[in-house]
Amino acid sequence: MDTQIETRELSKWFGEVVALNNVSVQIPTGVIGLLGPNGAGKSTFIKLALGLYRPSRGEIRILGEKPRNNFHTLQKVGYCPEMDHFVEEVSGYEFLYWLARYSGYKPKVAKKQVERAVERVSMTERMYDPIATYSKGMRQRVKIAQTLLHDPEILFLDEPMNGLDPTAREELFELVISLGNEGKTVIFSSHVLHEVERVTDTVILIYNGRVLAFGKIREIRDLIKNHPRTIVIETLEPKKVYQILSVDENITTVNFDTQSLTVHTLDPMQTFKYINEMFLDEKVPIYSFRCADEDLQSVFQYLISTHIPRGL
Amino acid sequence: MAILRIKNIGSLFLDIKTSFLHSLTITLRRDRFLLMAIICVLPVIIPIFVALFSRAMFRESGLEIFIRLSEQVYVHTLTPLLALFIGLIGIREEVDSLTIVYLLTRPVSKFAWIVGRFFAYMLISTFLLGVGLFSTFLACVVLGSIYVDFIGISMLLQYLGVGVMGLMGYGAISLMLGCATNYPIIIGVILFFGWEKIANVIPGIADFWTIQKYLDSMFPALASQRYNRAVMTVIGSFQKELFFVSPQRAFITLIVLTIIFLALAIGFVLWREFTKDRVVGTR
Repeated sequence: MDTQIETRELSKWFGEVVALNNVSVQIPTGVIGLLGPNGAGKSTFIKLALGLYRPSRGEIRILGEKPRNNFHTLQKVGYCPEMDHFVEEVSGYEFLYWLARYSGYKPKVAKKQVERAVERVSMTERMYDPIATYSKGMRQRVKIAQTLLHDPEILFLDEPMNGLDPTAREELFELVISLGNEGKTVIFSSHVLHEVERVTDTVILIYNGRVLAFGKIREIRDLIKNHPRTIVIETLEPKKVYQILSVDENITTVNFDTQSLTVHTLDPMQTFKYINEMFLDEKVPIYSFRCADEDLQSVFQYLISTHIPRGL
Repeated sequence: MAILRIKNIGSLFLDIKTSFLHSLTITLRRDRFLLMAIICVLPVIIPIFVALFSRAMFRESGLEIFIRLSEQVYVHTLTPLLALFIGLIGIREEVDSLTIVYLLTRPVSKFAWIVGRFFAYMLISTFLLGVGLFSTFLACVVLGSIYVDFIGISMLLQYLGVGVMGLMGYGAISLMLGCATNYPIIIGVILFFGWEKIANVIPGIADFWTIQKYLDSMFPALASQRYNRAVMTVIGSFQKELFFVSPQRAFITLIVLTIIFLALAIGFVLWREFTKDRVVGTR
């Protein structure tokens, strides 16, 4: 596969704070998830890729060229920023129109590009209303529309799901998948694992400015398969539930509460199987059960503790 | 897929035009523009008041009032004010509202972006200054000793020309401040209304480091009697020794200064990292 984005020992620090530390990756064509908790360095990575930041050390190349102040590169990239800032009194159409003009289109072509982009994000009906009257989801759509205006080869979507309602989220998932099918490279940044899983199976895991893993999600899942998982079971009889679950040798620790119990298990699938059986047998009333640490933070913590040497 | 242009002179011109038109549409709908439009025509009140309420035998002539208003109000006060309040809209608002990130990720030349904004500012400010000066001129004509004839119109145009040169010089500095610093208005006020005024009074050649020095050199030579400024202190009074600059040299100096400050503005845009969402714990 051809390399679209390449970094070598890329680092960025602001004063004494290291935002990105020694990142070397080669990103191929396709949809790539940039996964990490808030403050991990995802946005910094994207801004370095767009040339908004200068690397403090190392280098980054987009389609073989350094991106900073490089309009050749900027012709081929689109960026949906995480932040929500607009000139509020202008309409969505006007906002997009001027950005299309800045992309080098003449007025008539710019108008067509805007209409096309707006249609793609289902904002045609409201495009002449002032942005100040838009909901959070609509503003997000406008941001995504401006990313598509000049039909870029590489799209950077920084937390694009923020503020979207379920319908809009589904539409955006479809859009990202279709962009990937069109042969574009989409860097989809998120701190939510299942959002990324909806659009791609390839992720870059980033934490504390470091790339912890880069590959298929299932490979990353394999990395954490031995990671003890926490399951919370809500029931009125926690002790009785534990008595039944005690046959499961994978459970390492149990914490009781008045109406719930929390178990740590080495094999969540096996434990879930026991809980399901218990639920179906109706021996004990179970109201709900969930995995409490499926969030990325716990995955990162686990990966750091097992894969990053101390002191780094 | 629509074809994007390859950067050449034609596309550079297109970028300048886009930046110019965009800046015009932004500036013309700002309250600040309306405020400056009102301020620019306010001096008209002075000759009208003089005509209505001053006794004919004591009052200053229309010519004297026009010269004083043109030099002290329009050129020395309103041109730097326009530069700060209109010149900064194009760049600084984008930076402060963080919408600059949309522009910085477009394949637009930074040179074209700055130059387009500067042209838009020049057009709007020249229009406001022109309307103000012309209204004041007409009001002064009512008072007499200045007429709508060749001499009167020449004088008006000369003051307008000096005003435009002022707008260029102050505007380029404002633009540079907008690109280089986070507090351009404060620094601009200190420079234009602090440093410029002080440097033109204190003895020495500090006035050569001001825009006002070169603007003063281009005023109509015999428009009125001008007095050398003096500083009165408890020790004594110091009169500044003036070193004159010819209008031609002043004109060239202002053009060069404008180019230098515009180049600096472009340099700062290319060099700075404008996006603010830095890592927690940093500024």
